[in-house]
Formats: sequence, structure tokens, C-alpha cells
Amino acid sequence: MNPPMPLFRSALIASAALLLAAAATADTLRRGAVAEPNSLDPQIVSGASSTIMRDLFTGLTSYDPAGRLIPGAAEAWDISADGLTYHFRLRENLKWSDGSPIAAKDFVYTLRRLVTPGNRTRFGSFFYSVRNARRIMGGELDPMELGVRAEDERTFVIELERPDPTLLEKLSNYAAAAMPQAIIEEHGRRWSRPGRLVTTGPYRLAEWVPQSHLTLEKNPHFYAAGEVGIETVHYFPTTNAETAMRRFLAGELDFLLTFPADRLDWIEENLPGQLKIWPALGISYVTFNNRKPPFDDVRVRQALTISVDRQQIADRIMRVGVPTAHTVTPSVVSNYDTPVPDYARQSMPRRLAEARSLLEAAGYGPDRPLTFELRYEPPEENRRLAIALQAIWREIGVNTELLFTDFGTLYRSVRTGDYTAARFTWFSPTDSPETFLFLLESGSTTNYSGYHNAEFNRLIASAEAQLDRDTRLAKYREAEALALADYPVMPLYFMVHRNLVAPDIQGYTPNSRGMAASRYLRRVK
Amino acid sequence: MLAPMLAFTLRRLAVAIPTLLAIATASFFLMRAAPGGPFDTEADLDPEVLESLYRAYGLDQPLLEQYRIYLANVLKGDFGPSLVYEDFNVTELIAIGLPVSARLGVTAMLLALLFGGTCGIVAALRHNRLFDHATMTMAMTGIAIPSFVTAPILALFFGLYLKLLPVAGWNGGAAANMVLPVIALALPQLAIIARLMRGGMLEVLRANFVRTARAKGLPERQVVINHVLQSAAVPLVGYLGPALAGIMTGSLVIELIFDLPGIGRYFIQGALNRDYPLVMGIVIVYGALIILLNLLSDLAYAALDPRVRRTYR
Repeated sequence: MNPPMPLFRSALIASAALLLAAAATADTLRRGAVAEPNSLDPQIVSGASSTIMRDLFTGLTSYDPAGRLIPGAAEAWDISADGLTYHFRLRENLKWSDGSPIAAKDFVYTLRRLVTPGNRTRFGSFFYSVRNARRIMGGELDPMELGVRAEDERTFVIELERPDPTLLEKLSNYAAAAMPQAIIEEHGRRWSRPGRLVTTGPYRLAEWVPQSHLTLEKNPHFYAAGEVGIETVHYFPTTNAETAMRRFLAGELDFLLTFPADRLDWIEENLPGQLKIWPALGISYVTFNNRKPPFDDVRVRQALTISVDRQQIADRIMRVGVPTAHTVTPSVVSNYDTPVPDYARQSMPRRLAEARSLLEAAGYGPDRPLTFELRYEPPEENRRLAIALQAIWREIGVNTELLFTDFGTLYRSVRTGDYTAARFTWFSPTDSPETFLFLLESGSTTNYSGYHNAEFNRLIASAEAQLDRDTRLAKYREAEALALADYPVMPLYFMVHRNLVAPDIQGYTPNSRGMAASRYLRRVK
Repeated sequence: MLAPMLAFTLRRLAVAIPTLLAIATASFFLMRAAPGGPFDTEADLDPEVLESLYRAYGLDQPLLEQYRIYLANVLKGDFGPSLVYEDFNVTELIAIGLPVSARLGVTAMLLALLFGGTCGIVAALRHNRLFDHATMTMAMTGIAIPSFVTAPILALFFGLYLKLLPVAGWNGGAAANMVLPVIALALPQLAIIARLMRGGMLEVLRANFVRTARAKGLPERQVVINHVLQSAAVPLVGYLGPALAGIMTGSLVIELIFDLPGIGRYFIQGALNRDYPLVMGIVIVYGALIILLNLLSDLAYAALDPRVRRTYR
């Protein structure tokens, strides 16, 4: 007779083997390192869950595997000569995941719901260019006054207040996908549960256990269902990047949207083919509070900005192949030539000498050193970054006091202007300079530095009115160069997407938008 | 004997209500005193959007008014909607998370009692001999090494290296997924229980009534089972109540490291994201569990020790 211990162990092996066999079949995909969605209502969910949401919902436009804009629910569109009216032609036989038909009026409902105040929707400000959107969100006008209409069953029309070159990109967002009015009105906040949630994208929701998993199954009514390879997608939300990494190494997960930065060396050595690093539409920067001392003085901002060697930060602190940043708009933005300031090309000794004399001119020196508080938030790599900045600035006689806070506290303090300096990250939803330059525009909600320059605002406004792409981008470039000469914020490095993809998963094309739609992925034997 | 015990129980339950009220009040105002608000982690919300979110959740009301509404709802058994998991009510989330944590916690506790109790008894009977020293050294190690060290090591060894068990995940509570988290949860408890049991045993083994039992000529086994164990378990019983409440309401570390959908994760996510209703709901449930399990452990005391029984009048 067998002793009890091996018996117990073989039972374990058998059950574990059974478990893995059930999980890793040819037509399933297991994705990890995603945030737990705060909601599956496409207009309420926050931006952190976009990969899941894009698997479930497809807007009027969509993206190909490389992140290029392609038709989505609309097969074609016309833009009027003044850029103010968009006619969208919906695909024939467009259907919800329950098989019922989608019509133009469903998109009218979608955009009205998005800008209606008081119903917890998040992305209304995306569509401020649509006629009356801003006044409806401010409670001045009825949502019925929104510049959208259904001309017939398959023609959806949007009227704008001003030309919006990023409108087509923004319409790819799940928040602008068709919403089922009848189901939402029947079930209220519980309409997003499995069995009720009808979707318009390549997948539909089969199961959702918060903090455990979401299971998506192929939507047979999706307009391109024939091209969708993987039948079932499991998402495992994680709050611990190390755990997700271990699950990937154990073969329990196929695709990680991120991994801990300090594991890079090990991954490069051991999993070279599975590592994907790609520049993203995002920036890591230090925002100075321009409204109050010491950063109301441009010399102080300039001294701190030019004294930091970005290459050192990128190579020695971040170590995940991040591009160095001297501008606010990332170099990866399409067709845009970033206006890199001159100091970027000067030698470090010269820059440090200039920084010292700028501080001296501003009244700081050994007797009266510049002292300020720098706030930063998780993850751990930001701590290393903050400590590095502290050490670099000590070289020019500056005392940096570091304050570590959680996300919520940091965001609240920068949003209300109750801070001196803070490290911050910004991701743009569109491949264009405009949302990056919003960081510097007066009155913009993301202008945390409080920078104000009337000429800059004027250039931005005139750029927005340009219909020709190259003229518009040239104006943006002029505006950005003007603002950077005032050193309102300190760009540090541009963000990257860092993914781990199992070798048997094919069809993934890294792109700056970080699109990794399950519909394009395949599992090969 | 039953009547005073019943009266004692009722008295304790009556005190529980103001206690829970005090807990709810303190946590309500403490949560609000923390800087930041529930939607602050979404960095790019427009002021219009933020304002409309605050209005939708009643957060634009004066604080005392919010407190009044909250208490009124809690008395009706409604903890309100979660601000972080916006498609769910707090009650629904607790109903999802608590069973997971409770199942892990109770399993771990049973395991710890079985092994820790046995080790403690045997160590006491072999007092100052090799087994005693070995188990107590291991127990001290078990107490000293925190679970955020043992848990990843277990996952690395049994999951990645031996490939015997899944490294993380709940998988609907499959046995294979429970093994590692339960062991990681049980180890420190096992160590504490072994020490408590050994200590209790050693004290009782020297007591006069045990000497009497031995002098009567009872076999050692009978002395231990009939006379020693019951009294020796008293300190352990006092420990078990609060410990069980703690372990059932979720170990944040274990749930994070093994990706388990337990209530500890909700608690920390709720606290970080200022999900006021979720945090308060969990605090109240936790408070109620502690009160209940402390009461049970006091009743168990009385059952084990007649002297204690007399004080429960």
C-alpha cells in the first residue's frame, strides 16, 4: 500500500493538471495585470479599464492592430467643408450582442446620456466640441438640445460648435458606443451585470466576480465576428504586479499589460521574445505650482529644470527604455516635430553652472538655500525617482523635502493647487499634441501648474480652428515652444507600454496607444 | 446554571449595539478627516463631472446630514452603494468577499488548531526534551517570519519550481487554489496556538488536582485527556475568539499575494480610494464579528471553568 503522503501529492498533481488543462485551451486567452473596473457601464468606467471595455464595446470608429483609426460601427462618414458637421453611415445589420438591431437613434441616446449631468458619466468633457455639450453639462440646457440627430435608421449626424480634429479618435471610445436605452432604464445601476449587459464589440460578458475575474465570450452578432479568433477571454484583475508576474511565469496567464520595472533585467535575460516595450502617449513630469513662491519665479523653475540630466534618469533610475523628455508632447505623437529647447543639447557642467547662477539671481545661496516639498505617489519606482531628483538638486544647493502620499491625496492636492511641486503622469486619449498642451492652457482642468500665458492661449485657440493638419500642428509647435521658454513644468521622461506576451500568443502589434484588442490575437500551437 | 448564562448573553448583546454605533460614528468621521475624496484617483475628471458625481452620491450634503442619512440607512440594514465598485451595493460586495475570507480563515484556523494544538500538547508532555525545544524553536520562527515573506516563498516553491499548485487565483474556491493561502495563513496561528497550548498544559500539569489524579493511580493518558486538557485549553479559548474574527475578515497580505477576491482586498482598496460606505460597512461587520466571537469565547470559558461561570451573574 502507498504511504499517505505521495497519494496526497499525486491527487494534488492530478487536480492541478486538470485545472491547467481546462484553462489553457486553444481558443482561450488569459489576461492579467489589469485594474478592477469600477463599473462595466461604458460611460461610468474610468480610463484604467480601457482594454476590457474595448473588447466589449466598439464605437463608430475603431483601431486596427497597429493602432491606426479604422471604421467601426460606422462603415463611412462625411465631414462638411467647414469641419462642423459629421454624417456617419452605420453598417448594415448592426446588432447588439443579444441579436436585436442597432439604429442611429441609439447613438443619439448615447451622446445625450453622456452629457446629462448627475448620472455619474465620466467622459462628457471629451465631447465639449459638440454643439451645446458644455452648457448641457453645466445644467443650463436640456440634453435634448445636444447637436446630434438620427437622419434615418442608418444615418447619424453630429454638429459641432468648433472644428475638432480629434473627434473621430474620440468616437472610438467605448463611452460613445451605442447604449441600450431600454435595458439601462429597466435595471438602473445593475444593468451591467452578466445576463443583462448587452454589448456592441467583439465580446460579450459571461461572468464577473469582482476582484476575481471577468470572463468574456465571443459575440456572435459582432459585425466582424468571423475575424475574431479567440473564443473566451479571461481577465484577472491584480493589485499586486509581482503576483501577476508569478502567474505569467507559471503559465497561468498569457498576456500582462504591465510588470514591475525592477524585473526588467531578469526578463530581458530570461524571456527576451516575450517582452514588448513601446513608447506611449504619456509623460512623467514634475508640476511646479506657478501661482506661489518659490515657483512663481521663472528663474527657479528654469534652474531646477535644466539641472536634471534626463538621460541619467532614463538609464539609471527608470531602466525600462523610456525616452527622455524635454517637451510636454511626446516625440511619438504622429506628424509632430517636438520643439526641444536648447538646454537639452548643452553639456551638463554648463547647465549646472547656469542653474547655480539663476538661483543666485533669484536670491538663493548657501546662506539661504532654496527649500521646497516634492510630492509623489506609488508605485515604488517613483520613490527612486524622487530620491534621485533630491540628490541631483542638492548639487546646486537645493533642499528637497519628499512627501509620499497615496494617489487620491496627490490628485486632490494638485487639482486644488494645494502643493508646491509634485511628480505627475499624464496619458493622452488621442494621438495629437492638444491634450498634452491642455496641461499648460489657462482654465484647462489639467493645468495643475496654474501656468498662465495669454499669447500661448491665443495660439492654441488659433491652432484648434485650423482644418489643415500641418498648419494646425505648426501652430501647436509654436505654442509649445513659447510655453517651454517659461519652464512651467519639468518634463522627465515619456511613458512606455511594457507588456509580457506568452510565445504562443500571436497577432499583437505594439503601438503608442497601447491598444491590445483581444479580437486580433491568436493562440498558435 | 442556564438562566444566568442566558442573562449574561443578552446583557452582552445589548451592550453590542451602542458599541457598534460608536464604531460606525468614529469610522465615519475618521474616514472623512482623511485628505482626498472618492473620485480623486481619476486624475482627469472635469469639475462639472466631479460635482455631478458628488451630487449623485449625496456627498454634496453637509457632513452631519450625511451622517444622519447614513445611520438611518444602516439601521435599515442598507450600507449604501460602493463608490469604487459603482455597479454594486456594499452589502453585495461583503456577500461576495466575506465568504471567501471566512472559508480561508476557518480552514486555516482548523489546520492551525489541529497541528498547533497537537504540537503544544506533545511539547508540554516532553517538557525540556528534544521535541519540546524543536517545536518551540519552529514556533518562534513561525511567529517571527511575516506572511508577506512566507507567502511568496510558498508560491515560488510549490507553484513555479515544483509546478504542483497554482501560484495565485481563487478559481471559484478550488481545493488546489486554497492550499497555499491556507498554509500561509495557518503558519503563524499554528505557532501561537502551539505556544499557548504548551504553556497552558505546563501550568496545569503541575497543579494539585493533577497530582491527585496521578496519585489515584490513573494511567497518564487518562490524566491528560480527562483532567489536564480541559483546563489547559482555557488561555487558548480566550485567544481564539478575536483571532478567528481577525483571520475571517481577511488577510490583506495573503489576498494580495495570492490574488484572492476576499474582503481584506476590498477593505484596503476602499480605504485607498476613499470608498466611505465600503470601508464603514466592512468595519461594522468586523466589529460585529469580534463582539460575537468574543462572546462565544467567554461562554466557552464558562463551560470549561466553573470559577468563571460564577462571575457571569
